[in-house]
Amino acid sequence: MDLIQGGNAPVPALPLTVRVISGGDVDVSAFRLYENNKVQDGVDMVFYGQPRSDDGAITLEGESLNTSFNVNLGAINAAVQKIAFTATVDGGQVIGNLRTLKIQVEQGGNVLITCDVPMNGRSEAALILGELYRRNAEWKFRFVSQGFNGGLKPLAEHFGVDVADEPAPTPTPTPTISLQKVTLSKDKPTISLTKQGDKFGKIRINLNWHRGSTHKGFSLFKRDNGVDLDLGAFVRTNDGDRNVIQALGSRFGSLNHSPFVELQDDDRTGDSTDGEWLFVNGNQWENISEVLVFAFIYEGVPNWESTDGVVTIHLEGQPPIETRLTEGHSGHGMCAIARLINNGGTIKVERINRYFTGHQQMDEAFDWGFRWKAGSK
Amino acid sequence: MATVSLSKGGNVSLTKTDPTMKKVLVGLGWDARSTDGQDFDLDASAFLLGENSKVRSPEDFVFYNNMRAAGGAIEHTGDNRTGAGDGDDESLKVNLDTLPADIAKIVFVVTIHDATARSQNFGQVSGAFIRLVNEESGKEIIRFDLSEDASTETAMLFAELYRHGSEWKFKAVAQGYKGGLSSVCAEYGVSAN
Repeated sequence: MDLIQGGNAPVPALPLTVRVISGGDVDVSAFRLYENNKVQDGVDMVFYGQPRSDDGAITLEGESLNTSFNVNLGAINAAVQKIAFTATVDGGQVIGNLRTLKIQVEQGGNVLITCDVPMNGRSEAALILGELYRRNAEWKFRFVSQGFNGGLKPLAEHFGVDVADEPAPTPTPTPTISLQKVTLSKDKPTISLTKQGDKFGKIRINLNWHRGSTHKGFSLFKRDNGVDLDLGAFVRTNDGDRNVIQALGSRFGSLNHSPFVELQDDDRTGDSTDGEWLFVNGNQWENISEVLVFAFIYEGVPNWESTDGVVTIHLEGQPPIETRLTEGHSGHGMCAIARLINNGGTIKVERINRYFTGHQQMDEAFDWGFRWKAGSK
Repeated sequence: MATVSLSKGGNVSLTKTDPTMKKVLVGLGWDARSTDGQDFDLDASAFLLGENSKVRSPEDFVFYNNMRAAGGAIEHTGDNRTGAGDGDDESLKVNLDTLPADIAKIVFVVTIHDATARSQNFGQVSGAFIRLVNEESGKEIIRFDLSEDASTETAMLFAELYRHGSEWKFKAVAQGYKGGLSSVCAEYGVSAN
């Protein structure tokens, strides 16, 4: 069925795909809206930086010219009245420059509803394409096709999302959504990051953990009943090379040369209180295909619960991404924490949080194919 | 006195609700411009109808180009081009005492100006309402919030005010038309071009 803008049609309360197809680069987002047509929280927005709603009922796939939202209507919180789907362009562009833009609703591979946005004279930089909404105990879809000349900021504000002020003048200012800290968890394991400027800059990965009471002058890491956690990474570069970066065997890597990942010297003196740091040269991201970040208990009893490890990934200009090492398996001293995957130039951060008895088991689980022998640092 | 809130199809006696009311301010509102892309211009109009549900003459069609009718018993207060503001977007004043006896009914219609050219319709309008205020006391007497799931309609009959014996009654209608103002004109016997 073709709708004209303003038109609506009922949709079945089944898992649906809402697809946006455009003739040019566009960012699409979904907003969960409540009684007053507003979001309640930043988590009500599903977009490239947060591709999955907290309940998993809305997920984002694809990018740019063909993006789709998988929406499980049956799993949408009863308080959510509407899910609005939007398209924004930046860099001084307007929707009219996209040449074509359409939104369609699919169910089980069949296209139920097709909506072609009339492009003539489109002055908006952000458009509400359509909305799924509740009406008399059923779900309907409306082709809205109304928008904002000012782009993402007025659009987000329209839906009640706090938008941070634009950063100091840059050639193409992109408003940043203030999401503060992003926590990856079992229920929300991935996030995709796109560049804020030309490059990602230096990506800093920190592992910190609880060391019990601290005594000045003593080793914080090397207490009798404490643990020494080591941070490391498997790195695969675009040319197919695989590298292990870790203090064990003094394989610290290099930031400026392949594999563009470097571990800060293992500080075993106790002076360091902010844990261990691993750096990824984001300006060379095009040369990296995957970074698997892991931690292992170098000394001490594998007891992850009391270790209370936290891994935080810092990217310039983006909120820190945090994941906690919980649900640890006692006796398993190795934890695969997260993967940074090069997904068409963006960084897809995926929380893993799986525990292994050692390097070799972890290697096998993720199919890296290293040869292993015991070592000491 | 609390406002009587009507839902679609409901009606209420004005005479019983507020026996003192002689002059009625009919306020209509909508929220079409939640966005700033294209201009939306909605217009309120009224048709004064005889027993046969037709206008007596084209002058009984009150709209932006004909602001007074029935010897001033009904008066349009002016066009609001943007829909801005929280209150009424447009309003009409009706003097019940001086309305000619052969006017049996007044229907209040809202249309989207140039809807076809701008590809606009009531599916893009939200928060529409019509309310009756006692002009002398300033009190809102009756209110109808249209919660229609409107779609491609370009004209909407919001409500009607009609004689019932010696009383005046008000009915919440919310009937959409796809043909814009001209289709409503045709229905009530106004030839418009």
